[in-house]
Amino acid sequence: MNFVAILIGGILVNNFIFSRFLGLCPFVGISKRVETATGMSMAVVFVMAVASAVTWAVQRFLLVPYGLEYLQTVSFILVIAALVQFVEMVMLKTSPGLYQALGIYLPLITTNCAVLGVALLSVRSNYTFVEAVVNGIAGALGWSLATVLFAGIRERWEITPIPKPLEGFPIALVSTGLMAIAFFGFQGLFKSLFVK
Amino acid sequence: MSYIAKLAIVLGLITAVAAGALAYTNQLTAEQIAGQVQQAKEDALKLVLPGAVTFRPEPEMLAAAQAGDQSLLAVTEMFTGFSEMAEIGTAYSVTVTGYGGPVALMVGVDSSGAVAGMKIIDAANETPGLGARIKDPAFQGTFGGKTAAKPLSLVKSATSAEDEVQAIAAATISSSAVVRAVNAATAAYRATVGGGPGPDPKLEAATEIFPEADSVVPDPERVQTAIAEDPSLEGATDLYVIMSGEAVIGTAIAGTGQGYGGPVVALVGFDRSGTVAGVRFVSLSGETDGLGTRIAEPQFTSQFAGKPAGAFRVTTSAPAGADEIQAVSGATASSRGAVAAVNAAIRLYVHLGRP
Amino acid sequence: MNRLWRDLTNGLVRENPTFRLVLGLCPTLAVTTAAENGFWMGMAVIFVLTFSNVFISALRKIIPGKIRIPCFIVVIATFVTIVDLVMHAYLPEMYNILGIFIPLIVVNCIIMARAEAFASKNPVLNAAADGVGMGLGFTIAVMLIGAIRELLGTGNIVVMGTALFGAGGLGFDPAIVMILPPGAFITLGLLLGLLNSVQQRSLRQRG
Repeated sequence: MNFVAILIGGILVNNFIFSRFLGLCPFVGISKRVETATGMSMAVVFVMAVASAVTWAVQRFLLVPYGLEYLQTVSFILVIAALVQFVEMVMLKTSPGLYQALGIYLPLITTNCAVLGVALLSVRSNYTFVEAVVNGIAGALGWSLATVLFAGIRERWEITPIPKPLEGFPIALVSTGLMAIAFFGFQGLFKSLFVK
Repeated sequence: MSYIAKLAIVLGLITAVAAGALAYTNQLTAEQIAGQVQQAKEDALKLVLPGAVTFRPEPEMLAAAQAGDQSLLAVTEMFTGFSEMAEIGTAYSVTVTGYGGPVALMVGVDSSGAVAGMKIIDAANETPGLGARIKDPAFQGTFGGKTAAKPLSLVKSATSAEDEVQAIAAATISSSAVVRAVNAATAAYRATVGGGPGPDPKLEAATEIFPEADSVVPDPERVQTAIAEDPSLEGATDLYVIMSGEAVIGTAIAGTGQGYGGPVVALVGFDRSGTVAGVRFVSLSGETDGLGTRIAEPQFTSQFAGKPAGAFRVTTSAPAGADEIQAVSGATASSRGAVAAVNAAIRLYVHLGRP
Repeated sequence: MNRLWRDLTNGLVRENPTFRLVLGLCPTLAVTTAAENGFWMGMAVIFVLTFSNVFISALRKIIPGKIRIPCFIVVIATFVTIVDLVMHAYLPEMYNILGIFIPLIVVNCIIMARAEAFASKNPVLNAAADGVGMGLGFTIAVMLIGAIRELLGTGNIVVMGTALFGAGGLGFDPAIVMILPPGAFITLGLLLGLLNSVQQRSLRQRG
């Protein structure tokens, strides 16, 4: 499959937030300020890319040859948890400032369904190694795009009158829904470009 | 015991027990899961080839067809379907990319070359309420009866031709994926069991010359016997007795002549009075398009009709006698070949005593 | 016994995981395209939540604090895989509909949160009650959302192959956006807003 198609697909057409419902918990919780959102996004892109690579290898070299496909969920999630732990340790040593800013969010990446989700999606679509990594990056970029956009909108809520019952989660969800409608316009975009 | 070792042991034990439990569960369910896939396939096969009870996979036939045509790789499996008594058709399992993901379906083609049925096996990624409506029985049913002789095309409004399929409103991409899949299946059909030149053009020509005929009976033995008696007759290749009901209304003989770039085959019809009823050219592949191929046009062929069955001659100017045929201008060699073919047929006719 | 009952009913209303705690959003929005889908996802979650709570509670004295998260993950993932295999074998249609959200139950924040907040600190029976209660609360929530989306998005609710409102549905032109992603977000958002409004009003009346 065309890499450009995977990229455009993951970022715009099948955006992980607005179309695939992956990575919602941190999305709704984290994106309060654009800077934090951007920092978190970078961590997510890295983790998702590496996670896609490692889980692909686990599937291809460990699970399939030994008929252990039923251990897919367990092994994938353990790989991801270990990976996040590793990223945390590395970040602590190399850039403590970033670690301070993102500290509590990092462990949350483990339970970010986007990471496990993209790993499962790549395997189910029978992607090659490079396609899987591109898919991971694409999904992460799409997630990041949504998160940063949303943080921007959130900053405007500070000065917008919102009905009391809708404050917090309700308005966040409704806004996300409206953004999802906007992104829905991308559906069929790359299909018409890449599929005859 | 060191702290790390204790951590490792606890985690290791829990993981080991977990893995064991999963291996056990897997064992319990694996057969059921595998059986399901098989059952779904069989159910789909029976649906797309009504009347079939057993199916024989045809991996070699499919692989051979795919070797010659890469676009058939979308067809993943091929089966021949049998009812209690006979082979009733073939079925093809196809996977294409739909709107949101892969769409898998099964297409059946019966022995008359028509699509017998189509069933979507998997369209889980299509949008519910929109693309997923390709699973509606109404849409799947529109494929039944369509020809497998050529690709079908998708139209958005009501269909106006036999080979058109109407898309589901607001689900164009999903619908077009289904049509692509069906076309891949029919292409595989044409490349395997449905291949070949189609109905014999000589038979078609005979029915054109004798529109009242209701049966055209080949008689190859008479041709062979005649050629054995007189080898110079070998330009004649087929003989057909034309019947209407119980009565013989004519004879048709196929003759070959050397045209411009290759052999020309003519089918000459004779009525009971010994007159040429009509001439059709069924093969002229070596003739030049637009020039030599014009021997097939009525302007040329009608010259033979109504003339007594005798040797014809080619002339480039206006014909003077009943045995002269005016050549197509600019295609004299082709015309000579055409007339030679007709004469070959006539020679056999005469040899057989003008039946 | 009173405590047990309270643990069970906690997850139904007071601390409903979807409407109060707003956890586990991903499957809540993804599978609620129909009430029936919500029901089966709920069943799967009840199974995983209850059993993982039970096992984690049973092992709570043995699991060292430092590796508790990976241990929880292994236990939860095991039960998720069991549900995955069983559904694949005996409920293939639903398995195909729920798709990757079955294995994604393992990262459903509800389960991890309850393991961390409750099961690892309470006895087995209470943990089981909590699991069932939270699971039921989740199930009710997703069935409600699913019913709303299905009704407004297709004009009908289909249960086990039978359309509840007859072949023609309720007779209005459905808003397909409801069963598409945007509809999910908006439905949940407005529902939450509605519940907030009801709660605030009752608070004001009491005060």
